[in-house]
Amino acid sequence: MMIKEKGCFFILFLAFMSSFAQTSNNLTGSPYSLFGLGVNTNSSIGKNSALGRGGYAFNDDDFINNLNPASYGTEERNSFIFDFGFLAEVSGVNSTDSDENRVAGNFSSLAIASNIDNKSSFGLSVTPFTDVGYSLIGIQSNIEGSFEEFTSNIFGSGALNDLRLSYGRTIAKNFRLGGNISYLFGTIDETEQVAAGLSSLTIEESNRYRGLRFGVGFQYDYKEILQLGVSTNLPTSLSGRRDRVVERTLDFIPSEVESESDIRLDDFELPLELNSGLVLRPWNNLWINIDHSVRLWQQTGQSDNVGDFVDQNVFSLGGEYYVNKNGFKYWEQIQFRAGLYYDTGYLKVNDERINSYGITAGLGIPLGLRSKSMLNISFANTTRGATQGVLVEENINSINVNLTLKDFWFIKRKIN
Amino acid sequence: MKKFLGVVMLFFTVLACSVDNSDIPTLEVGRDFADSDVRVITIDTFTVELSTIKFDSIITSDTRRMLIGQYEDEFFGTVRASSFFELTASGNYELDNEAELDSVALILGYDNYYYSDTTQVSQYNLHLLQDEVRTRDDAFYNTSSLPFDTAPLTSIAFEPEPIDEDSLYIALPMSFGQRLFDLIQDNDINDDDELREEFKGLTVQPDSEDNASVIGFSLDANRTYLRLFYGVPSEFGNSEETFDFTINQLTNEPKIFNNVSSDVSGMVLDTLVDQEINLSSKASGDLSYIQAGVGYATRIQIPTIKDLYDIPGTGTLLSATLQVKAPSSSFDDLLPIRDSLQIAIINQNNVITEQVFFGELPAYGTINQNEEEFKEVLYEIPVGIYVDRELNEENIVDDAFVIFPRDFNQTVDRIVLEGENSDDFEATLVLTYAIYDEDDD
Repeated sequence: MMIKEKGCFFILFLAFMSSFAQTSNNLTGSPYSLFGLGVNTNSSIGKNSALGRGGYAFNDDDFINNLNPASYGTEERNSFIFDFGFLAEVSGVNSTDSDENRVAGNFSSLAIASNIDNKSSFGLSVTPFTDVGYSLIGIQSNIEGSFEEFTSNIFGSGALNDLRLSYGRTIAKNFRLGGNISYLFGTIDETEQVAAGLSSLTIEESNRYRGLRFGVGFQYDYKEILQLGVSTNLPTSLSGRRDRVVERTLDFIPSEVESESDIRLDDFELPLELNSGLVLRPWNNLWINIDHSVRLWQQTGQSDNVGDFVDQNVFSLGGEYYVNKNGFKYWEQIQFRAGLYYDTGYLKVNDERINSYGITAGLGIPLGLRSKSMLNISFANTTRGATQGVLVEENINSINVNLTLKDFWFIKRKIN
Repeated sequence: MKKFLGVVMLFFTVLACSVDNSDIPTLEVGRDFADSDVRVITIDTFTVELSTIKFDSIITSDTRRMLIGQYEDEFFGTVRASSFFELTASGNYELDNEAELDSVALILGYDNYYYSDTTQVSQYNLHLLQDEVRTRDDAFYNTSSLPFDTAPLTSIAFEPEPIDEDSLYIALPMSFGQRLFDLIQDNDINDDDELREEFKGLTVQPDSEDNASVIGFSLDANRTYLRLFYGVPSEFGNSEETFDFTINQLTNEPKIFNNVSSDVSGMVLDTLVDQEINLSSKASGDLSYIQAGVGYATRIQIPTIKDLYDIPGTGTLLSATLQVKAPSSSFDDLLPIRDSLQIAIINQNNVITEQVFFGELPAYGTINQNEEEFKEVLYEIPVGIYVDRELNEENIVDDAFVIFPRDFNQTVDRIVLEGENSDDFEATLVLTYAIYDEDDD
């Protein structure tokens, strides 16, 4: 019975996955998504998004923690978790002379995790990796060899997705080890419209990237009060292919200049990522996580046409509190979470780093007194960029809603 | 299973709640935030070669005007236009038996076109044609002619008033009119064919000594006609009537054409005896010539255009404008310069193969108005389509494009252009080129 239902979930997962890959969901409206392969996604699984986006050392057995594969090694029997997420974003873009707002939202993530035996489990997830969504209007550039300018509008959309298989196992008491394979894939579309005098040129590009990435991690628990987590994602290259259609009007006569497919792009290099975190448990019902992540972009030797890639550091701090997890009153089981983070960014434009920082807050609401399933709502306010000089400041309010369903058929059986 | 279905339901509810994601803020970023991935460059260093050619013949039988007159031109020698046409009755060939002819005249309605000095006296000689106005080719050319009586039917010397007056009145001999009048009245002429037996048409020739102007006359039946003025006696006195012969424009067969020529003996253009000959502007005083009606046109080539591909990267042409200048000494109020130059592509034999378009309309070169204020006439000619074709041509074909005035077949407008090595202004090709990929194809 259990096997059968797990199979059902697996099929359901694949069905969702295929629809996920097809929806070109614009989960961002950030002009900064012009650079690189887009901005890091604001969506996440479980409760990390409420904890300042950290939690490399967490191994809560009621949640999927995709930040460290070692967390899959949590000792438990016959556990099954199903998690899907929805992300909504309200963002305001602020340049020196204009303000704009937008709302975007969509189904954003899907994950399952299941025990293999009482010492190990595996997980399968699909989440956004980066998001692209921008429209830049009226970029003025000089026509070389003259004093005149031409105008271009650039539009981009798309996302890279992360299909991840994770495995974790308890190796020794209080020591877990895990690994994951990610298949990163997605399409980023960019359209540039150029108007020069009476002529115009339109370049439509569709860039497909894909590649595999490996990660490993471990977690160690020191008594009840301290947990340590370290994970790494290895550097990898994403291979890119481009389809391009170029059209123009010359003397008011429109014509196609070229239509090419499968142009090989330079590989996009993802850097080595080293993550480490601590979870402190000063009291039985309070957790505090402190995390640091470094991504060595500089070693990839890449540059964008407007900026250089620099090493990125992300610091985060978060906390979770409830009155009593097994309390008899419903409100006692509600989990309160809060956090903050600072991200130095990986791009330097005109010697200014495009950094971001944010505060997060969230609630974990149990779906019943005896249920281990939970509705997680988190809110984040993120500020990215700065209005000084040429940069654009963005303020993003995002709401992540995750539904984490755990072991619900077992409960049903108990009721029966 | 109930809960399982619940999850599925919830999932689709979430999907259905997805906010419309097409709404991305449109950030106006000016020139600071991001650069275009495209480079646009402008280049004006390509050599432009100008030469003069002469079309062997231009069809003039589809003209909408009569061109008549002669003047001496500094560059084109003796410019001469004469007209040949057939006149047929505008109504039935019927005249009252009592009617009596009063007078006969040819009335030519001015159509406002003139070239050169209208204050000079022109002499027009009218001759009767010896052959019918009929051709085996479906068309007559500016070189066509028909035999006519050596002795003119009549001559008139006058100062043309193409703007101030409505028409030119040329009285014809009574004997000529009376013969036609009697034949119609006696029912010896009942249709056009029978008329042609007796009256094949007219030609108006300017006097060979004239140095005056070329004048345009209308072909409209109510502006230009040969008229018999006659009276019909009745109880209440004489009633005045007219009988008109006009140029029939409703048939497919041409009934009028203009012969246009210029006598360039001893001048630099004298070498152009064949359409295939190119007279380089370097060999004609750094000037290039255009003359409508006669058939001179300026042929333009950009021999090194493929060097554009030496620019690294993959790109495409966004515009190409040719700038050519007419020296201010080459035009004045009497010999005005016209806007609107037509553009056509010609092959190595100088035969026009295709017209150049600008959008859905034929491309025209126009005078840059800013420069015109300073009495500088700078033509800007959009030649993007031609240049793009040259760029994409697999084989090197020695074709070119040719520029000539609008109404090339029914005026004698002339344009003189500065050539490629002129001290004053070299013909210049201004290209706008966009590179959208820094890698070569």
